[in-house]
Amino acid sequence: MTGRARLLRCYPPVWRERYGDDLAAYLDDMYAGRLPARAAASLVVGGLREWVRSTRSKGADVPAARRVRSGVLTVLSAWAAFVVAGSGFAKISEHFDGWLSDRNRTVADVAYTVVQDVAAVSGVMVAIGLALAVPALLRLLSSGGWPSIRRQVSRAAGVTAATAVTTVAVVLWAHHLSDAQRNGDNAGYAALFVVWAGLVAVTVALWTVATVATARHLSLPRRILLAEGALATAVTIGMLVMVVAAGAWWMAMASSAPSFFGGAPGLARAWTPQLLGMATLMLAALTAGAVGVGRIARAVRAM
Amino acid sequence: MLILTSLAEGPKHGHALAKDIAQFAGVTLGPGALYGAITRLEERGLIEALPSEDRRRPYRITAAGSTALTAAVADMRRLADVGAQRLARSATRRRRLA
Repeated sequence: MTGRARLLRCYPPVWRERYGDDLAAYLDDMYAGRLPARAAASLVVGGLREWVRSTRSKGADVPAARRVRSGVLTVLSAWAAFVVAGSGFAKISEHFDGWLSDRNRTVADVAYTVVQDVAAVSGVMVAIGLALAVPALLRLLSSGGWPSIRRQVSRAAGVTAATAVTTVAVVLWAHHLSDAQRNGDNAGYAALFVVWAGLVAVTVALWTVATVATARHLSLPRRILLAEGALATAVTIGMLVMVVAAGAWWMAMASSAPSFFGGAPGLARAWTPQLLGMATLMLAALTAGAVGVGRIARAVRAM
Repeated sequence: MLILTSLAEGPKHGHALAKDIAQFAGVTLGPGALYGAITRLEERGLIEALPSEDRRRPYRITAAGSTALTAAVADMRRLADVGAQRLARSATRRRRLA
């Protein structure tokens, strides 16, 4: 496939069917030889714009109630990813207060407390959102809906059992190790910890998939959908606050105790690959949450 | 507006449109911007595609497109007239003060 053909694939198939040949001929007429970077960028941006438009026009055909539910489920999935990123943040920030003196701990302490408190409140809101859907779930089960969700729920439950067994093993082993051994000096424990962390992430992901699959079969009344939409919006605001607070914590630690991250002094060096991965996942989750809230807001106006 | 103005002269395909617009307006449209605008104008019924010549598809302005262009040109003319009148008055005031 040529570079031009690859760029045309930035456009949705329906659009390409209508304008693809014409645009390809235009490119041949206009740019003999190599396509300038500016023209390539224009095609990428144009393609993305057409994808957004095609998604919106498809969305316009879907009933508003289903679009609210889809927005809520997007936020739920984003929150699940945020939980995984937040667990990474909790591990990275372990014992950070021991690296600070009384003089320079205020910002890091306050920011960390904000992350913890908002995480707890967000968790409660997600639990309320799930609880609100329980009557509809019971209706689904009593009307013989179990086979439609059995595969996803069974898979999540199986991995949860494996995670529980691994958790017990990690806890029992950790009791026999020193602080240094628990934090990297024991290669076997470190390997088991990585396996356990992976299992926790997979468990969260599979329960999210099961919840989304189940929610697609539920018939939720309008008032419950509106409440779910409000909760999803609040959870996304919570994620935004946590991202800002985590950023403030990182800046405070990087300026007051850069050696905490194992690097030389200076903001540019105060990061680790784990920290970067966690921050990227947090921002991706926040972006997905914002997309979900946007979808909810547009659909609620149409309800 | 640029595309409608270009097509007001007669049907053109993408390349001819881009060259014409660059000539009369001094604006170079990227391929994404040009075909995005063509898509939008066609959806709004302001232009329409003619049967393809080879792979190239010519477009022509519709009656609705001509009406929209006429209205836009009238708006711009009004704006240009007001601007010209105010500039002339301001120049007269400056001459009197001098």
